[in-house]
Amino acid sequence: MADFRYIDIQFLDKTHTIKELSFVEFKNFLKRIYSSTDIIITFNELIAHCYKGDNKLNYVEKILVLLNIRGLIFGNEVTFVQNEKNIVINIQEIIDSFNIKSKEIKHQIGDNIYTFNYIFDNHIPENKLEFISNSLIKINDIDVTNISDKNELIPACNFNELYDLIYNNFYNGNFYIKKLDYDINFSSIYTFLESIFKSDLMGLYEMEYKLREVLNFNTYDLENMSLPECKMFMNFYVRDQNDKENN
Amino acid sequence: MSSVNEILNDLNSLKSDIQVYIPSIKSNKKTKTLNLKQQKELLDNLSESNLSLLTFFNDVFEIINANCSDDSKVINVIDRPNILLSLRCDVNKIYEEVNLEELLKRNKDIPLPDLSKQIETEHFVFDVSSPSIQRDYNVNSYLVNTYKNEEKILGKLYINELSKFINKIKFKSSEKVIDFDNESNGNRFKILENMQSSNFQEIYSFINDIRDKEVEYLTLDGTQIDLSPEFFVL
Repeated sequence: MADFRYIDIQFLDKTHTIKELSFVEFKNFLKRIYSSTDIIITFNELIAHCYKGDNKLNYVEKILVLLNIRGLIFGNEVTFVQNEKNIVINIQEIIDSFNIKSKEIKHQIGDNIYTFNYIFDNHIPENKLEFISNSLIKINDIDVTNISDKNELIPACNFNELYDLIYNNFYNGNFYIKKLDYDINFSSIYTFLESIFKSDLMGLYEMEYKLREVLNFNTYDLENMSLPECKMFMNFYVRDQNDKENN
Repeated sequence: MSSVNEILNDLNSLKSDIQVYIPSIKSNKKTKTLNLKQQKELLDNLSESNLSLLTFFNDVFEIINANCSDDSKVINVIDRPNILLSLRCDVNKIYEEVNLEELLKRNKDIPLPDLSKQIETEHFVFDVSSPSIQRDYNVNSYLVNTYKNEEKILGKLYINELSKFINKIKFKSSEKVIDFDNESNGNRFKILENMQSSNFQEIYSFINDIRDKEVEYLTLDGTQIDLSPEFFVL
């Protein structure tokens, strides 16, 4: 039987397919987040688990995949509490801010044309020269994506200017949350992702206990149902209980 | 799909060489242009340390060694300013209002001093010469590696200069000759440290003449270019 847990999503002019996490998978992922020493590696593990396809994802695509997975697990609303007030943010608006396809940059140095595109790194290199060389994909018509040390391929140049040109073209997207005075951009995005994925692990254990205790869920059910589905069943049960009490 | 080797061959065909005037041999030599990796290596060692200039010149040596088709033993330290000016000029012809192309053109007309000399003192005869960049690199490497953690190194830098420029020391009394080419850097340092400073006065004067010439190669209309990693920040 085909696996129908996959969902198609579209961003940066391409269709991508991601898998919805089951209750158990999400619980395990959450445990992993709390113990992780490198959150970016943990998020990459999540992408490897959920993303279907042979596409090698670039830096921005990875971010968009993670935001979409977050939307699938918890829905698109994120609530932050500040000064005892709830501030609700819609994940879709953040996705829209980052879902802007930028054109390749063609830059002439000497007699040759150097083409730059999104990097495939897990993070944006702090070293400007590393960032530039990792962004290089072509020299004239020659594809150099498989060359490991591309610094040797680029002539010495005004790299500050080139860095700004590439960064501003591909990584200028941001989402400013006025109420929190917090700017989500490509440099701060992983910290933000960590905060919106982390949720109450004890609450999850409590839900699992109730699902097993009152709805007779077994491990098979929890391995095959997503967190939103489990929540739905819990809500149905609570509604039934309320109806019984009222009658 | 092309293999990485095929891609690298294609890329090599795109590289262009430049002609660099080498004063010590009074002719041009073909040199590869500076790449981003080499620029990065020069800038990575940007520091305030006393040894930073030596580290910079060692990085420069490695670049000249990789980019110049000629043997690094042939290229003299007096050629270094012109090579660096040419590499920089290829990227951008102006540096802090100095027209590098004009400076390089002017440098062809600067007469070269004697690059070797025999200097006699009361007890010794010294064979001295302006060192090759290879020798400069070897001696600098010794100093950087041996004294990198020491703060007071000014005296060591003076001996370092002597160690580069002196080739032979002959004892007048016994005709005994110390050939510095056959001595380790450590031994050269020990020998020089144990000699009276008065022996070195004329040698320092010779060294200063060479260094002054290097400065002349870097000066146009009264503006002197400071050769340091900053020269390659574009």
